[in-house]
Amino acid sequence: MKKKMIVIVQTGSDCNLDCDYCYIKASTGGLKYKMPIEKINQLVKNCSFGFDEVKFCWHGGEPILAGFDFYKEVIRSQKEINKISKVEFRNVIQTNGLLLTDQWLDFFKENKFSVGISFDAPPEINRLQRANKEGISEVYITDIANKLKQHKMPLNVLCVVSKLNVLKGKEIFDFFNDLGVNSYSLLLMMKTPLANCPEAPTNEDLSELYKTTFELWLKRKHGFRVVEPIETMVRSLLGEKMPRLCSFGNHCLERMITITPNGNIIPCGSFVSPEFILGDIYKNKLFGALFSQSCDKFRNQRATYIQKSCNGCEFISICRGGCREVAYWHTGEYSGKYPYCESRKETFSYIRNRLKEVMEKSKLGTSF
Amino acid sequence: MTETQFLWKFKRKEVRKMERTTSGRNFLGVNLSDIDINKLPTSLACITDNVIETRNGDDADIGHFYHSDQPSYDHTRDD
Repeated sequence: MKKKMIVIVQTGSDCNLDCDYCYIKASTGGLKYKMPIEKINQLVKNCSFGFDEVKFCWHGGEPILAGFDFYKEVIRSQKEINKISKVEFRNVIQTNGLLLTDQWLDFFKENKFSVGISFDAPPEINRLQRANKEGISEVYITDIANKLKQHKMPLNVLCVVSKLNVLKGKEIFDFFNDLGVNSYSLLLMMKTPLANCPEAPTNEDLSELYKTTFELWLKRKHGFRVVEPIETMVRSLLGEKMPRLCSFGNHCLERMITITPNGNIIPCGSFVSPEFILGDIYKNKLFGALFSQSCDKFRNQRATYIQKSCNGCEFISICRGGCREVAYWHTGEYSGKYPYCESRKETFSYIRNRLKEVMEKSKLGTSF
Repeated sequence: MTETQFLWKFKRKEVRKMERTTSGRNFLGVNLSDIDINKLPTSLACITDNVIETRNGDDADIGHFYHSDQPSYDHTRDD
């Protein structure tokens, strides 16, 4: 089996938007960081040792602001290292899309980057919780969709869920369906202490969103391929061993890690305070950092939480205690209670019962 | 081996044991091979087919919170 690693790289803290829930803004206190181009070769080299395949997810701030030369150096370094060590590289860029030009799309297509767009549907919510000082158009996503279509590239969207859009499951689904997206993922907002940060969804509302989305997903005839986390939940209930999304699996500190612009290796995007630093990627190999004492400390904390809180839960193997980052922003502790435990249990039960019904009906040859 | 490493290895073993009670289990109590996939709704049919094919999902194409990379199955049905 191939040894795979996902490395999320924060290229810089700068952004052309000003999202009310931005955890980078909340955790850096407004200080600006930028990853230096001359460090990229070292970054790629130190991330690749010990693995067969490394997927880099280029994040920000806004990762397009890193510029062409940055990504040209990324590709050059990856090719150079692949020649020597045979490590395979894949690249994903997660952008708000506002700076995407034909030139950028040509570059991404030529170098086989997958492009993920961040957009919080429906559009009025995107404008409300993500606007910069000048404001943004409600419909710029349509231009992005058209551009990607022209370049024959799929449109994959990441949609943050706050209290403002949690009960708009149908509007979100219809909007993305009409837009022709290939896939979208509902991502829980981190409840940061920023003054304008919207309220986090309640367990009840989140269950409602998942149930609504599941029903729409189940009934859709054609259109997008993947709606997350619905697909991960369904797959897991059907018996797939390894949940695909990190927040449902055992990927934390084992198959996924984050690098900050100044080279700190941290468990995930917003764990930037000194206690979470596991090493310096410009000096240490990532493989070594994963076996460090500090890494084991957090694994222990996560395992202790699961042992205490999830013992006896029938969904333990397909939930695994929830996302530690979401728990951290809600409780201030890495091993704090996962705030959406109830919602997960309810949604898993609901989907399980609906799937049973549908499967039974299909055995009888009747329509679902 | 340091104390932290020992603790982690021990705990990992225990947690995995807890997980194994349901890991890879089909939660529906329905034998998937008894299902006529063609009678399922499109979305579910594609996933069920794929789960049967890749039952040992250990090497599945895992993702972060999005699927920016290629989907894990070919959605060719168009009903």
